[in-house]
Amino acid sequence: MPIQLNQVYYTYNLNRPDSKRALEDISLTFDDHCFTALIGKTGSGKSTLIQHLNALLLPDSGRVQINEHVLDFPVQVKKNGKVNYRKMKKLHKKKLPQVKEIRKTVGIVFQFPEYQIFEETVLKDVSFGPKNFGCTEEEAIEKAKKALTMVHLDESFYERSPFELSGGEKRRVAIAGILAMEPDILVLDEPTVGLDVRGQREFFHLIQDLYDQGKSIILATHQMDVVLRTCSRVIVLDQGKVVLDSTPLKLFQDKEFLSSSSIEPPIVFSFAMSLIERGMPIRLENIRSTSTLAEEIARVKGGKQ
Amino acid sequence: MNTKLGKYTSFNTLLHHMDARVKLITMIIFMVSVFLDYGTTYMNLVVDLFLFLILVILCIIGKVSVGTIFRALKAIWLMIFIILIINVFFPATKTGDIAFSINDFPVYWSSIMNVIFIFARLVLVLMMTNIFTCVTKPLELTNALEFLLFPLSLIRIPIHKFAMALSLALRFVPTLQEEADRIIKAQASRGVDYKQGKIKDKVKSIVSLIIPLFVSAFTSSGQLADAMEARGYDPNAKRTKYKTTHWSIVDTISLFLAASFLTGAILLAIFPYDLFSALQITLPKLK
Repeated sequence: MPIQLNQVYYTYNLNRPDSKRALEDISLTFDDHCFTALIGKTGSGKSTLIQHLNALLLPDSGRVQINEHVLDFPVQVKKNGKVNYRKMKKLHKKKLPQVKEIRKTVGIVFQFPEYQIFEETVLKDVSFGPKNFGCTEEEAIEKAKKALTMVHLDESFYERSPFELSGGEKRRVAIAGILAMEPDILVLDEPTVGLDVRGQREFFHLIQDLYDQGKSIILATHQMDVVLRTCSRVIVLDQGKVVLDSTPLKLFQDKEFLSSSSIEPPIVFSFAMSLIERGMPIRLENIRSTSTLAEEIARVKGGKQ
Repeated sequence: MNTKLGKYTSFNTLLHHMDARVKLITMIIFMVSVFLDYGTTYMNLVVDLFLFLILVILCIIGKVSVGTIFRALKAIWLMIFIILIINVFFPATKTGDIAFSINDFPVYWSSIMNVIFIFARLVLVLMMTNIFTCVTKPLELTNALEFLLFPLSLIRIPIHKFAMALSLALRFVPTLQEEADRIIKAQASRGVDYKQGKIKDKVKSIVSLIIPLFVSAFTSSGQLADAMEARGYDPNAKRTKYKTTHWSIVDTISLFLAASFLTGAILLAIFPYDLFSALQITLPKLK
């Protein structure tokens, strides 16, 4: 089990008048080679949770384990039963040498990742990550080239300035910057916001490829059709708590839960559900996208598959 | 980073409700009186002490934490130390009483008093500006500045453009802070360590923060300009105020008090009065 969270609590501006509880008692396990979706409204704690996965944020209390690296912040209690904040604070000030290893294992692609670009050429920018993790110049460039090929940027881009590229190309450079670090676990925070339809499609193809290569993917998104098409597990967050941990198939069938948490199932799925209501024996578990729905209808109607 | 210093905190106090123009004028008056010369260093220190007491009272009224100010002083201890060294080894005057000697090297009282005096001025200026920005909203501050600069408009200097630029700059400080935070996190996940490492690595890591920050600042300023024009902003048009200020009796009294303080300070500076010789207190001679 590469990632394990145990009773993680996190509050922004702790012990200040404007404090805001962001995560509450989160206990989750992400298995090796998983494709998991994190969904929830804006402000439900998705981004906060993601930042815990590579130690950008440390839990106020709780335990985060990533492979063999452990970040443990047990609750310190005084003799009278109250929480000893001073001791907790001390615990957070300790140096954590395992952080660098964790960041190498877990790569995060943030929302609008293109703002991390800063080098003069695309190749230099992409090789920045591997160099930070101790690769030599040649190794880093080798990895950068590999990552750029993965995001479909060819040699003509290598020496261009990343700032003169189009929005979609910049996004790809930024993502390549993370891929070049060769993380085992890739965490993506709404990665396709602001991309055109073609860019989005290409992007999800890329993620699927990476998953097939054996990487774990954790994806925070609002696009339910993506969740249905690609993910095998879905976690729903609300106000900093895990309210559902299930599969997309079960989630989209649970009408009560959907209406209470204002999640819209994808159109393909709703369409398939209404077909079933009208008596068409479709197997819901086969439905992942428009093409699979068409295949199902064809199968039922006895048409060509 | 000490972010509490000089940050506006919303409280419901007398100082918060005062007209920003009065507060600004008062601050300028205090600042002028700090830098006036009242005859001798001792008298300067007496005035500084008096001013310090006033400022502490203002802190209490405006619920400004005095502790934060003194905690911020930590950063300038080194500077004070250097000033002390320079003053001790290169005294301005080689006359006056000697405080003590280090291996026959005389340390004059004037050197020590000089350092104390510089320190006192620094603390006072820091306190004033801190109190002012803690009890005044940035927007009110710019309005007050715009008002006080109005004589410049007589010689056709477009002050409201300056005021607009200033208020936009202030408005974007927290936004840039957020942006910097995001970039730091993004680069940290690419393995940048902003805290440890060799100097060369540190410089490199700062470059990886500054360039994206500039890029995003330029982008957002362009977008802001477009948004303002789209909503009909015309830099040459006459501007009206969204918030009208109400002049209250407190403002009149404060302005009057500040004015009398200034008069007193100027009078004292022109006609020096040596409190200590009048009270027949002997202090080490400085000159």
